[in-house]
Amino acid sequence: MSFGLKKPLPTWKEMPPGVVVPAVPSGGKNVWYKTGNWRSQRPIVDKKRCTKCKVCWLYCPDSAIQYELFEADLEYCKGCGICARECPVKAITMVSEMRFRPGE
Amino acid sequence: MTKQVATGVVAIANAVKLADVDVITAYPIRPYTGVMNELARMIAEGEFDAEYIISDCEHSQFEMAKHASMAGARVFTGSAGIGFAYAYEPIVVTASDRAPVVAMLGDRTLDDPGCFGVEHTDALADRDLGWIEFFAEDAQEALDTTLMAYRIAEDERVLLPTLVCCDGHFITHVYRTIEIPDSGQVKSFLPPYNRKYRLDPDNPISIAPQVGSSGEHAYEFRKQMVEAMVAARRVISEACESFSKIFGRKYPPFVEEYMVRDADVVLITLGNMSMNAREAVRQLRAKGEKVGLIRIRTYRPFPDVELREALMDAKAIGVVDCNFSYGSPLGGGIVFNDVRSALYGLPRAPPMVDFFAGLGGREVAVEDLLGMLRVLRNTARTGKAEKNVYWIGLRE
Repeated sequence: MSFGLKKPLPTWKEMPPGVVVPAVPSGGKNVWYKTGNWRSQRPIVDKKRCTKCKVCWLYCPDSAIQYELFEADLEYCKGCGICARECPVKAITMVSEMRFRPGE
Repeated sequence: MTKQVATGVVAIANAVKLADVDVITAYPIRPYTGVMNELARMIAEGEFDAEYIISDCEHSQFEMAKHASMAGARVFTGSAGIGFAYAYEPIVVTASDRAPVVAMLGDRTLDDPGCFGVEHTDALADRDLGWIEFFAEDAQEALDTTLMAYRIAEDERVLLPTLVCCDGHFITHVYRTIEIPDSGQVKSFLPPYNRKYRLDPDNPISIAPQVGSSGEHAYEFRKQMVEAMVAARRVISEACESFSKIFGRKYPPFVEEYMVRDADVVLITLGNMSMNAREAVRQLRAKGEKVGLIRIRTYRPFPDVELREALMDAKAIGVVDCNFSYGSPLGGGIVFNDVRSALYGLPRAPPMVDFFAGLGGREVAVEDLLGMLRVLRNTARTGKAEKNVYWIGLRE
């Protein structure tokens, strides 16, 4: 069942019924469904303040915080700001995407 | 098999018990409340065991039914009128997620003004969403159709939710003698529900994520639904045949014809009013008039082929619409326009007349139906419909 992960896209006969797609294994990334372009604010981590406690990683509803980097994967981060809100040392600031150039 | 004098709601509850349903989701709205009550009693008294969830509203009720179905449970739910309309969103996705939920719809007048009586608009307004729709004529057929609905909905070739529509009050709350089959018979008729793609922690899949938000896949999924409806036609026929072998009651899969073959004039009905229509036809036949009746049993998939075959030689056709469709073509009802569309292109398409009747649960008496047949007789004689639409029994 490779639907959604191959090209060319499957025909209606090849697709499993009922809007079913294989789940991405835990920790993996769905390369066919990137949500980073939903974001209007970007989490910026102050590495000097960060204590690597992993609270941001725990709270991120989209598993977009990368485990060892303590930074959001911008291809997937939707900019919800939960990490910034939960960070116990206030190391994360949400910055408007308007402040960045395209591709930055 | 046992015989019992019972209402339609008790008949349906018995079908749910016999189908050994795993999950029931419920929220009260008359006349569906009657099924709820009876099922609650059965479970409380240990007659059978099912997860019985009372919801906070119809929206959650149908959502829960959908999820339970996708996890592999056999599910029963139901509603009526405006309650069903409140569940519109889960109704849409239950079909597109291919969850074979079976729901009883106690057809009820859409508000306002609030009436308990039957109108078919609640079911017919949702006819395009991927639910199979059956219309029962009486309590026995409601029971039997509920059993058939599980077999049809859960078939791998179909996997579509199914609605068993029962006229509010006239079927749901009128006492009739019903035959309740044995569980052994039901076991041989109804295979267990075994879903290939299911919510299962050991074999994770995603059902209905927002894949292809630019439309890469939705178009293909729509085509799958259309084909499932096509496949349903064969599965419905198979189920009716097998049902008559096991239970001895024979139902035509799509339309029930009564004295249609040589009829000049044919009336088309849905649901319980067909009983009176049959009596009206019988009375006129006794006087030598060539009249007939078609009762539509399966509304989705729509019996276009069957109607074309049956009506090829008719000289005038009348449709009784117990629903409304404001601003529709010719100001006609939903059934009228669907039948008319199915007959378009027939070499000698007969003139058609629409009769609104019974809205708000008003009785459609034999005399009313005799009046309709008289209008059709004139239409057949002149070859032209004097008016497209009649409102029968309207105060004016």
